[in-house]
Amino acid sequence: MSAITPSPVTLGLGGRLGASKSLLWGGGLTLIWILLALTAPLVAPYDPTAQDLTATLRPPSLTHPLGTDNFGRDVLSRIIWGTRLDLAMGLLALVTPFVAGCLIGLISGYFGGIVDILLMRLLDVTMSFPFFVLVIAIISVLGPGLASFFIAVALVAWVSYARLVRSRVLVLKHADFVLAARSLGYGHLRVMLRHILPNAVLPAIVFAMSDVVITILLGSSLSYLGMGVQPPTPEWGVMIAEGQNFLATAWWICFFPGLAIVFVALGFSLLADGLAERFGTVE
Amino acid sequence: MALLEVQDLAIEFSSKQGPLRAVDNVSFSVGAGEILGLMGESGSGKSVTCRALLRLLPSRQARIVEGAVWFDGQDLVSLPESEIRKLRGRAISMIFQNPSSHLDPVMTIGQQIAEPLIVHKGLSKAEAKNRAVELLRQVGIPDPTQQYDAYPHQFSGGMRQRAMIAAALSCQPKLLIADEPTTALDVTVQAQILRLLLDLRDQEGLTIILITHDLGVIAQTADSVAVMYAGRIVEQGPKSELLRRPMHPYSEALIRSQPELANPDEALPSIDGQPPSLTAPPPGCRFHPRCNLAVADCATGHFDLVPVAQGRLTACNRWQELRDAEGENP
Repeated sequence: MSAITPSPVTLGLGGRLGASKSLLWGGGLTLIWILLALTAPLVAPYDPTAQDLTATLRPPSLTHPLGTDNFGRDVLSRIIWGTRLDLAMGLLALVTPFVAGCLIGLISGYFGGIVDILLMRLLDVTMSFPFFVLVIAIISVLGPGLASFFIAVALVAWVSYARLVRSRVLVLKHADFVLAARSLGYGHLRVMLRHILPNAVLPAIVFAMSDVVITILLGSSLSYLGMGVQPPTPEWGVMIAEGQNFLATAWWICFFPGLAIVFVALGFSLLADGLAERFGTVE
Repeated sequence: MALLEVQDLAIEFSSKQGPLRAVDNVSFSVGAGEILGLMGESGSGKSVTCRALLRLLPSRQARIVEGAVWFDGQDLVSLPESEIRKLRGRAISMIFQNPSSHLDPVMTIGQQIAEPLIVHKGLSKAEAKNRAVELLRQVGIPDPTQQYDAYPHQFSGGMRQRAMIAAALSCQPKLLIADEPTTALDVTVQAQILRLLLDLRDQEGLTIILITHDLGVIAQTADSVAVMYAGRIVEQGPKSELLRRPMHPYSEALIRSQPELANPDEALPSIDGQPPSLTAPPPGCRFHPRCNLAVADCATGHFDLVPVAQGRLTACNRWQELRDAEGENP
């Protein structure tokens, strides 16, 4: 069971952080984005939806550090406000599939037999479709909007978590400490939730960090396609979609939201790598 | 009056070659406050027997096909799962060979000891914590208040075994099944753990079934001994008499091959051959292919455990010869 034992914390702070640069950088970057999202009303210089038709398509300058769009809205303010929506989309959309996937994987792996067979066939069917295609298909049926996006992601994204957790549970249910827990008279529910799940959930958490990136990209892409967040709400995908008509003359409208997506993705990816390294759960 | 009485227990594992009888016709009893040593080599069925007492066998592969286990007026074999679960950890507890892998790696030591108290006795978290600290102190963990929050990987092997004993005993069970509790520990720690078990027996009246392949452990701790070979008990009796004068050639050979008793100038005595395959055990006495005293009769018929002297039982027909051979060649 050494693979799931957290490495002993014997090194000093410097040694530990030094051992994982990606954890430090990824954590730092992610923290900055989260702070930016939380403090958006304080740090954004302008109202993200306020139009100023006297100052449209202005290049980056001191008054508008990242320029303005075709309605004269401040791009920097829109990006800062967009952080809220994009991070929320990435994180919130994953809560349901994460919880559902972990529980399904736990039940499937622990009980095995017919329960396992049925759940795994359901998983196979879901996985046999390409992720994006299935999400887009579901949203087309439900109609565009954020609610459809959350439902679609929940219906599709649980499979990865279910598979990760199930594979750990299959090993852990025969672990000695599980036998010991049963010898102390604990019921199935307690053994599953208190003893197996905490030991099985780590790879799922690490995967969730990289899944956040995919979900944010998905959310932005869908908004870009007009199936997610609707204008004039400040959202990076929406901004890129609106700015593409002016790409030749006002590149900043598309470029900076794109850069924001890249750096959010970088932050979470590094965090995921760092966590995987730290806990030795590289898949 | 025996606290636990096992009658004609038989356990089968399903295997590709058909059913495999890992434990056959096993009967023994343990009196309250007694320490029974269950001795035998690896694969002889000692651990399987003891897991069966708490019905902790892997349910898909193994099942109890015959026999009864009487504990407190109840037959543990026929109890429904929900009832046997109430006994586990509360009336009968178990500790294991490898304390490192039998403790939950992501839960603190203290929580693991407090958990049975919360589950079985309905204690509040704070009460359970106080009691757990007390238990840690009782099993000899220094600085228990601080160690409550330690994780298993921060403990040494001996301390982990103490913690496991504390968790197993937290609800004051009547019977403790100790499955090779000292095998993974070094000799000095081994002695401390055995001392702890003896103290618990003396102070709390705990009854213990001690599974081991180590005669030294038996010699230091047990009151009576049952020797298992290939899924059957071949000899049973009070410890000192059995060790001094075994009445089965297998126990005799086992005692003779203890490194502690060996003459440093001679090769270590061993038992020739291998334990038999349980899919096709030899007919008659299962030990006869390796036995020095075997005669033609040993390969046929039944070899049941029969009383031959005060408190002594053996499955060997020729135990008299064994005593004579001993007498000639002490």
